[in-house]
Amino acid sequence: MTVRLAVTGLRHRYGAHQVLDGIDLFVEPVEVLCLLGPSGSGKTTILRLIAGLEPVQEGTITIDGRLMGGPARHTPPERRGVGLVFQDAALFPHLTVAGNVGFGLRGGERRARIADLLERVGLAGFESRYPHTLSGGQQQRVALARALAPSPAVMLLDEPFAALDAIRREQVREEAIALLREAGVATVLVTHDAEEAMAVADRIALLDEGRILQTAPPRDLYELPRDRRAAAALGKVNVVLGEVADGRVRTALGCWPVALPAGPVDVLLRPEWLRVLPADGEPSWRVAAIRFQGPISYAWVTADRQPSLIVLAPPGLRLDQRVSVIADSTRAVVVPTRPRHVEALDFASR
Amino acid sequence: MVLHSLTLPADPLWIELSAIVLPTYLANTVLLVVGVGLSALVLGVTTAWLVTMCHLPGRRVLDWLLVLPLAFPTYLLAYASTDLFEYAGPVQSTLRRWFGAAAPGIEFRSLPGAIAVLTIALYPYVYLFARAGFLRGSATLLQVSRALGCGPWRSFFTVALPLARPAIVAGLALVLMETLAEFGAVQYFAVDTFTTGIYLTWFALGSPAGAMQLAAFLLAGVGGLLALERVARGGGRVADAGGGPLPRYPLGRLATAGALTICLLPVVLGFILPLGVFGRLAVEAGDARLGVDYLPLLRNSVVLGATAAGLIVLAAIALGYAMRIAKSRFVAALVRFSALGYAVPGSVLSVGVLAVIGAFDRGANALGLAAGLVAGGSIGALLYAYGVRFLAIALNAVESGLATVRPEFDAAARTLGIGPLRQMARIHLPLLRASLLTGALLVFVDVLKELPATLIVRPFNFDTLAVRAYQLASDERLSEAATPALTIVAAGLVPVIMTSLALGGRRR
Repeated sequence: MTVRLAVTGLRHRYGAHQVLDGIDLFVEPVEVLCLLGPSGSGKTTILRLIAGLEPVQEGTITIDGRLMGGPARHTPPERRGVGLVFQDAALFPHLTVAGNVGFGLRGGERRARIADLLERVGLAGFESRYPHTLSGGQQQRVALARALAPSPAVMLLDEPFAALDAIRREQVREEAIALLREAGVATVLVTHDAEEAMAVADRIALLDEGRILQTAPPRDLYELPRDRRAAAALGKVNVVLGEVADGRVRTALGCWPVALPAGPVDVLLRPEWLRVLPADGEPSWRVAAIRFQGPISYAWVTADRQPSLIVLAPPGLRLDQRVSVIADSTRAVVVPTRPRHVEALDFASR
Repeated sequence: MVLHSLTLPADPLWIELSAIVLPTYLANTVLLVVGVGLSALVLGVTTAWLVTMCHLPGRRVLDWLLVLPLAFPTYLLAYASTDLFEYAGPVQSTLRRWFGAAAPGIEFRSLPGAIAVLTIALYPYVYLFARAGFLRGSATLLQVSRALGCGPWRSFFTVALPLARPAIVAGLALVLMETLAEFGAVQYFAVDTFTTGIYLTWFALGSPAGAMQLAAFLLAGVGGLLALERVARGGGRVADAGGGPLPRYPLGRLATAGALTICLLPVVLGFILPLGVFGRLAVEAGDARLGVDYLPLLRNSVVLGATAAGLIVLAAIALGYAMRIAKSRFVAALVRFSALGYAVPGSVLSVGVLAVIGAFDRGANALGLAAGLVAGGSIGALLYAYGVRFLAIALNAVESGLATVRPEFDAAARTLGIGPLRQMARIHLPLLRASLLTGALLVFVDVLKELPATLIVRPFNFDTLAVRAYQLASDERLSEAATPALTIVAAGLVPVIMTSLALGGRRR
């Protein structure tokens, strides 16, 4: 395994505000790493430090084994071999498409390289157009071609698809990621959109308040979150209070064996890990709300002295219907915690 | 320097004089400022409302016609309107012919006359800002107000006016400042205000200390107005409600005629008639000698304006980059402070500049560097004065230009392998070029028009178009002043059109 980009012990503060508090990352060639986190979690600062737009205060940044940034070392951005794409393309308005793409190129191959790149982003023939005449998606593709032109070792993408409308976003994103993989660039993609991160990332690094909560491939992160915050970052999850004793966990949704020491635990259950059946005994849950979302529907069910759970609604489920809820104990994630109420976290849903 | 003067021991002669003169200056200045302020406010807001909110025939033309009086420096408007309206002028003569002795003889060169002229010359500031205010905040909200059943009058007073208030106050503050700083027109109308007092005290009474003390009084007034403008801006940050075309009100035939008259009157009085006066004078009674005189005057004005524009824009670039790079509040505050000179009346400023340069000369003499006046009354001093006065204009242009150079451009260029210097040449310069040209043009035209500072600081026998026009008119040789006046107006049209375009750019 080779490492293209390595970040170790990165700490950064603006005035009294600790933006980054010990960040460790690595990216392999041809890998797409997503930095996923809410705004203000320090994602963009990490990109700026990797690109060399700001000097490193504490920690190190190495690219292909060469130290680029550290407290005593600052290689200027123009000598790092790093490409950068912003949320709103940031194309130079006074230059044509060809001028933008060729901005970082020199020498005789320039023309051919520009034509080749535009061909690959599907904008052949747009050479002499000006940026303001292009659509948002086209601008973003030009920005990608511009960043790819000098063949960077590392590509940094700062929410590049967030400003595009929903329909175009997916297409532009898929094409862009395919192009990056084809070019063999190590890519760091910053986003606050969990679905986007899961769709394109080889690995996701979950960021919160300047720290990394967990780094893992999307499916692992979704199915084996480290704690309730990591679980909520990727989508809807029910956090049910439980108690471990004698190798078994006891919850409002039943008991099953776990390999954990005795004590209070969080039981993390995705909506699809819960099964809803017509009532056939106690305890009985009541359907309080149903939200239709096209391919699937969610339902919120409540019971006496229990906060509601979010579940997948099977076809035919009616409001106020009595049901029982069964947890899939093979998939439930049980993690130690301090006692809290049962709650349904709905952070990342939209 | 001007502030320092307050601590100087006062000239005994001046103390005696001030007891007599100061109340007059104060009363005249206050009357003038209040009179001009009120009438410009009413005229500016009314015309802005009519043009933006009502269906008027020729609305689009009126839209920019109403700004044209700004092209006339106030002193030129004063000369022209005096020519028309004075006792011996065509208007009063005609009235006398029609009504005989019953026609009242009006002394036009008086305080009311000055108020009228300044109102016509300055109301476009209120108009421009009020129009922008109406356009910006109101479209959606006015539709809401109409849907809730408010008629035009109630909508105006309850929605549009409060929304546009900060903009209107900003325009009004400009009018008041210009009025306070006014020199040429009030001097010509023999209305003694602080500015004319400063000039007289220095040159006629030979009392620089007294002049500076007067100047300090005036500065206090300007400070008050600046504070007013700040308050207006800070207090009413009206969110851009934007959206959609304005719901214009249809007018009846009579109302249309009335509205057209109201809108056309200031244009006729403030632009068309004075232009006619100077045009006729230039053609009929053009100065025979002027051909000889005119070219050197033009050359002086152009060279002075171009040099000043170049230097001031360079200074503004340096300051603009200092702010961008340093990103500290202290630097920003310092730059803002250095741009305050725009609010300082030209006469006050020249007094301060001469004092600074005088001190510099004395210092140089004491060191035995050079004998005599090195800088005082030199082109250098004049450029220095212009710099202090017009830096704000250039700085505005540079800043708005730099705002288009987004930090992402720098970041993108750096990561694409372009170092800071080449970045300047390949990104900043091309992006800034237009706004730098605009800034230079605006400074150039302002220098061309500038009267009091030029008059006071210029070297002996160094005349510009503005100075010559002023001198000829003061000597009642208006016809000879016509050609330089027309040149100044022609140049003055440029920034007027640009300002109008910039502020009205959102209009679809």
